[in-house]
Amino acid sequence: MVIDHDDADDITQNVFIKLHSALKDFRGESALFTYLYKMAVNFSLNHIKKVKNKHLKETVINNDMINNISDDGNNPTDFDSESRSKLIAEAVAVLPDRQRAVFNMRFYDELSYEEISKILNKSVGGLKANYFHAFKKIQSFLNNKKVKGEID
Amino acid sequence: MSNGISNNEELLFHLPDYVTGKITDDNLLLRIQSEINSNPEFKKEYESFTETYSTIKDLKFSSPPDHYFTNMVPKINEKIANQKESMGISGFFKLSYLYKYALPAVSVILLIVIITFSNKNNKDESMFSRYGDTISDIMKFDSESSYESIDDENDIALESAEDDEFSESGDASELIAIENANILELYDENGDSDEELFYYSDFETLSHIEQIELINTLSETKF
Repeated sequence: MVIDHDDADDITQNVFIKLHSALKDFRGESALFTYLYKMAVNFSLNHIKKVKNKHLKETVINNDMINNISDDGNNPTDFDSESRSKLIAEAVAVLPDRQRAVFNMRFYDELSYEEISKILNKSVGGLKANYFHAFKKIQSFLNNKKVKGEID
Repeated sequence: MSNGISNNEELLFHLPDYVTGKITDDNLLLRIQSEINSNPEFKKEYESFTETYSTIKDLKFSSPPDHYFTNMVPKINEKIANQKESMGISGFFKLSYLYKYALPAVSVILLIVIITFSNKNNKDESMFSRYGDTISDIMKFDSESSYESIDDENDIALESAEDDEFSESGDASELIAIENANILELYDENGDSDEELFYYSDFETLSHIEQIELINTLSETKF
């Protein structure tokens, strides 16, 4: 969600530190996974807001971020694959925060809408709409790049 | 979007999941397939989604290196330890605890004190209003009684003046002197007395005239 690996590292550590202090308040009403995931998403969204306040809506995709993306766990070997990965990462990065969160949770983490609903406190119907619009925006982004000849 | 698609908005929102193969509900699958076959706009949307999915499906984020996980736990422990150290004893008096416990407690105590004092004042005022007449009566009575006491004092003064008049008379002083002398004579050092009826014996020692005078004087004396 936060794209930058160092930011993700900091957020992960802060989430576990928060969990350490807040675990005594955990009532077991939801699964620990959901509780932890919710905390991580909230930390990530707060971080994105802070970054946005600093850099407005400027999204920078640097080489470090692209190096974290590969086809099957390895760094891309050919230029086409690398450029495509870069474009997709950019397409996901420019999504609105909520849509990006839903897209990551549904597409990459394969969470059910019910789980996402518990994490984000949103209705399942609204989440389906978010996912659909996220998909449409990525599609639109890639089509624009195709028109410009930046992608096949 | 055409009317055909907008009427099937629910199915449209399921299209990404249909394309990615995440729909397990058979009934929903049949409805979407039927819509693709019957609605060209919906079919076009489906094909567009399929193309996008084929572009992004191979995108996977690489796992972090192994040392990331091995270093993460010590880093977290270090941060927790630093936090505890920075908090120290002062952590007990953290502002959050003050807000949580101390402030409500202090406000409750203040409230009790204010209510107690206001009730007391009201009670005093109500007592004054209720017993005001009684108090004024008492005060009035006191002032009257003070006048009475002044009258009493006058009476006492008058009586004492009379006593003085009586004491100034030589007969009375003589009588007292005789009585004292008799007491001294009749009582020895241990306070024992040989004669119990010394008044009678004293009276008998007086002359007849003295006896008459004494009787007259005693008859006029107020006790």
